[in-house]
Formats: sequence, C-alpha cells, structure tokens
Amino acid sequence: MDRPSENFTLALKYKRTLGPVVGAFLTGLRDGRLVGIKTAEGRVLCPPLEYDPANGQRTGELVDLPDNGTVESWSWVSEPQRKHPLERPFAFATIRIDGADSALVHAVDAGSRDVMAAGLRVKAQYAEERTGRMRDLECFVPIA
Amino acid sequence: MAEQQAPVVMMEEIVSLEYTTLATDVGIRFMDCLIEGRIIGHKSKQSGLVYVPPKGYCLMTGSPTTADDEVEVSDHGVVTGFTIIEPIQYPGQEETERYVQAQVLLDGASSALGLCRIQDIPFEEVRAGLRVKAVWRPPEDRQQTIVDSWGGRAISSCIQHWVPSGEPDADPASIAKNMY
Repeated sequence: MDRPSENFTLALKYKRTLGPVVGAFLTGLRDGRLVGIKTAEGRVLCPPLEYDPANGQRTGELVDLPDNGTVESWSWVSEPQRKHPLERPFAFATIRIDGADSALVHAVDAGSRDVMAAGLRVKAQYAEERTGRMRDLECFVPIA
Repeated sequence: MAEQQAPVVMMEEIVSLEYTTLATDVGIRFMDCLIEGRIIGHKSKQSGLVYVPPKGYCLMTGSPTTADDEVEVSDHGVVTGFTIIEPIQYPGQEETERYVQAQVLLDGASSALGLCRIQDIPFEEVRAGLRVKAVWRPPEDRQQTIVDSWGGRAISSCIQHWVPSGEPDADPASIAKNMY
C-alpha cells in the first residue's frame, strides 16, 4: 500500500531593479542581441558586469556582440530536471562569445554528447516571445 | 510596440521549492484519533514527558516511544504565548482580518501546540495563562491531512479554533517546566 503523502510548494516572489549594466544585457536579450562591456583595460566581458572582476575597477562602455561563440568547457546533463532550461539532454557550457574575453554559462542544445567538445562553435538561439529575462536566450546550438 | 522598446529595468521572479511529505505511522494514528475527536500523545518512559503530537521518540532522551506509550490528553489547556497578527496582503495570503494565534499547552501534555487560533475574547485580554478549550469542527468536516512535526495543520483540520473556557488562569509556575 502506498503511504499517504502531500505535495507542497514553497514559493517566494521577488522583484529587483537591474541597474544600467544588467538592465542593458537583458534589454539586449529581449531585442535578440548579446551585449558586453569594456573594462578599463579594454577587455570585453560578456555577460557584462558593473566591475572588472580582475581588479575591481568600474567598467565602461557597453558593446554589442555577435551571436556566435566557442565552447570552452562543458558538462553533459543526461537527465534534465524540471527547472533545467531544456527538457531533452543537453550540455551546460562556458561559452566565449566572439569579441569577448570572458565566458558565459548557458545550455547547448547539441542533441548528443558526442557533438560536445571544447572549441565547438555555437550560436545563440532566442525564444520567440521575449520579455527581458535570462530565458529570452533559450540556449546555444552548434553551428552546422 | 513602443513599450517593447523601453529598456528593461526590473526583474520579477518566483523562487520556489516543491517537496513531498510522507505520512508517518504515529502521524496517521494521531490524525485518526483527531477525526474521532480525541487528542493523543506519547509519554516517554525515560523522561515522563508527553509529546503531542507523538513523535515516536523522546526529544530529551532520544529513546523510542511506541503505541504502548500512547496517552490521551485533554482538549482544554492554557495559553503559554500568543501573537496578534495584522495580515499583510502578500501573494498566497488568505487572511484579511486581525487575529490571534497562540501556543496552547493541553492538560496532560508537556509540549505546546502551535498556531492555535483564539476567538471570543478581545485582543487586549489575550494573555499567557488564559485557560482555553477546543471548538471542534463537525465530524463530517474533519479532513485527513499529513501530520507534520508540530501537527498544526492536522489540528486545524479538526479543531476550528479555541475559546476561553472560563476556568481561572493558570499559575505561570505550573507551565514553566514544559517544552515549547
């Protein structure tokens, strides 16, 4: 006999202001483009940050970046869970966008683990309906 | 489309955690008795403490308690602490009016029940030491629920609220040695 059980959801709704840098990044995602930011030393960070993690200096000018990038490292998720970005097996990867000097963590919809490799060229794939959230950038896909 | 072009300045998200609670044997027994209109606990042989709801072990000694240790406690008790709540309207809030929740130490129990709603008394007269009694829901309205560690949901599914019993206040010394 199955033991009686009850399901609960504990949920917290929160709202925060994004500031000029993260706000610009999500504005870019909503509009279907990637935005990075230049550090004082001329490096480009994507995702953009308010401060340069290398030295704590304030970052400067926002720059538009292309949708293409290169996988630097990855981890295969063979059994996606409810809150994962994709329902089918995928890879979490660090992806260096062309023109950027830092990497962004996102899902790669590679279809098969065998496709994944450091150096794999990928392209951003945006959601059809975009509202200014991280999920607007659905995933990355290998460039054929 | 004009709005679509406005910069994104806010984010609104829901952080949520889903979990499942399984019924325990002592919880099922406690619930079945509540539906019959009885409140039971376990009396630890080692410490003599009476746990309501029963936990299947004694918190103070760690020794197991079983059906042999079952005792019935009264549906009269004493308020040991309380809070007057002004409900704030956050998502999921069902309360709209001010109300009182109290911890009630039942006669025969060593641990107080939490989240007991006190009614039929002006807010300013609620006090520690106030004697109260259960107002049970009609038997047909009593619902099975899963009993969590303090039993609040199980109790409130069978007991509507608590009201002053009219007995003289308890001496604070008589409740000082119990567990809250």
